[in-house]
Amino acid sequence: MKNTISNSVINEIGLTYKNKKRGKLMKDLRRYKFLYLLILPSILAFIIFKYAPLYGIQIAFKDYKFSKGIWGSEWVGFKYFIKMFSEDTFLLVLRNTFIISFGKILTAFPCAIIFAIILNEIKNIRFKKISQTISYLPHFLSWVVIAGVFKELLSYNGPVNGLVDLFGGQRTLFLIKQNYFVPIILLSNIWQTIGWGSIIYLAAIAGIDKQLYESADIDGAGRIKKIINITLPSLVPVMLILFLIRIGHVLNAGFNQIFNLYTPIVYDVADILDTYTYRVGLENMQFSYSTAIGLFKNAFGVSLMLFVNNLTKKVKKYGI
Amino acid sequence: MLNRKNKEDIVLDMVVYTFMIIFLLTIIFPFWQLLVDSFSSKATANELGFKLWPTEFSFESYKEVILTDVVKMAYFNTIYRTVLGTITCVLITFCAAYPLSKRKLPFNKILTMMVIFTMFFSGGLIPEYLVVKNLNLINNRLVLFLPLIANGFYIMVMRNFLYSIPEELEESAFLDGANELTIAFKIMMPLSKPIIATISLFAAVLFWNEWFQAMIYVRDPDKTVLQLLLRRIIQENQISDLMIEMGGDDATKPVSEDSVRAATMFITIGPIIAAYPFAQKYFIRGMMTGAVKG
Repeated sequence: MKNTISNSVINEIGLTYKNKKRGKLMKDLRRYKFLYLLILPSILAFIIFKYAPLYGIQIAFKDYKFSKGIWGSEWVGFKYFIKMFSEDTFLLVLRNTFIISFGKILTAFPCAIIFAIILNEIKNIRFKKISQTISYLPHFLSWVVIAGVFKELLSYNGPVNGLVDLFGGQRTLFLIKQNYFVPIILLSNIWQTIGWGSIIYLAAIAGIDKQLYESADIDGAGRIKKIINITLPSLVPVMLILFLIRIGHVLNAGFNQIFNLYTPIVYDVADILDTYTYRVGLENMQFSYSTAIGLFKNAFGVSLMLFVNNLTKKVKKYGI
Repeated sequence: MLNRKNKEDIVLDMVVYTFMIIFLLTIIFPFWQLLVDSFSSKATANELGFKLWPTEFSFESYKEVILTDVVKMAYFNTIYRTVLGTITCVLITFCAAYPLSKRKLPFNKILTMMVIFTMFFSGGLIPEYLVVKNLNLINNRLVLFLPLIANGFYIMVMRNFLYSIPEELEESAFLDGANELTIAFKIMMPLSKPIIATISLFAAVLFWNEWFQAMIYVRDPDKTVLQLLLRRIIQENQISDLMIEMGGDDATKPVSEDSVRAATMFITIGPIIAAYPFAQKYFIRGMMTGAVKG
């Protein structure tokens, strides 16, 4: 007798709890009705422009023909992925992507830090502010414009060749020489990103405990010693995190920049994943192949990001 | 701070200031040259060498460039896409960021994940092209901004900002009898003015500078945008289109190609150069808000 009573009591309690949960959900949905209505247009925009294309990714596994549409085109499995890795051009493109991307990280990354430190050493506030503002300009310009500027600078009759002439050298068309192209990419990248990239480091420097500098003063340290022993080490955590994030984006070697500066003559060193994907897809009309390359890039990129994200979490947790 | 002006201080200051001045010159110099070119008369524009001031000052290039139909249409299209694009983008962003900033919203986590997902994984060039094609938007002026209004990054930045608005505000508004609609638009939106300004500026610069989407989705010359026009002039040296419209032949034309190219570049970047010094604080703030969670 006692058992059945407690059993039915427990059942009652269980049922009321479930009903309460379902009831709560319904109540929440009704209560937040307005918010759902509000978010609807955004959801629509996302579905149309971000998720619908995901459906089209399947053509990487098909032989997509315009006339047959996505549905009608036949499955070919991994044909295009095999093609990718057996094709010399693709492997070359992959190599270029890594070279240019790592090159950018190795050059622009330290430069932004050094620039921040230099800015921090400028005592005249007016000059500092003006320098910062001017240094941000390249960040706000499109590569169409910047490429135009560099094409002028590096043209046969341009200032750079003028200097070369002055020092007795021979005028060259730098942008079409394979030896010069990548260095130009790296230099112009520094030019564009050094100002804006220093912002985060400046903010970090501002957060360093002033007492550290004061005690260094007492110990008789000069400015340079202070930079090396206080400023730099304090920036290491920020550097590490930004570095990891940048690595996560390694497959993005700078489409806008390269697309506006390259020419077929330098394809061998200039072609990166994105430019290759573009030409294969929209110039050569090999839709399936192009999509396959794009899918590879995305998948690789996401895995890399997840890996890097994990690393970042560990770094944040254990500090440095 | 001790006021020792010892040797190290002086040397360091010299190095720092020298470097900075040289660096700033590398930015100012090319644009100054182009500016000078754009104001040079035909006779002097092709002179070799660095010019600090136009040898012969002339507004001709600007006059000619601004008066061509090509440029007028490009300017109109650029303004069209920037204004409509920014307004739509900010609205769509707010419509997503506001609900997502309510942590108690059921399914909030899933929705947020779906937004963040799009920041890392995309359909790719061809699938996106096919979507636009199937929507019949190819060559439609709307395509200049519509595909770009769904922006996960902006939504996250705005959401992070909205987190900082205390819940008590909303609760006391509820107690005063306001409904969700009133709260969202009469209280939250005005409070969000700073972040709306930030996102608007992000979007405006994005739309003004965007050229690739315009290039692949639009064929008609009367729907082109400034950046594309500039790109054609710079890349493909198709300055001839522009020049042909100006009439006359090489000998009788009142302007030189270099000058026209420079003038076109300046009418394209003019608004940006003029506006960005005032907008930079919003950009920096926006970047910080986004980076904290990023």
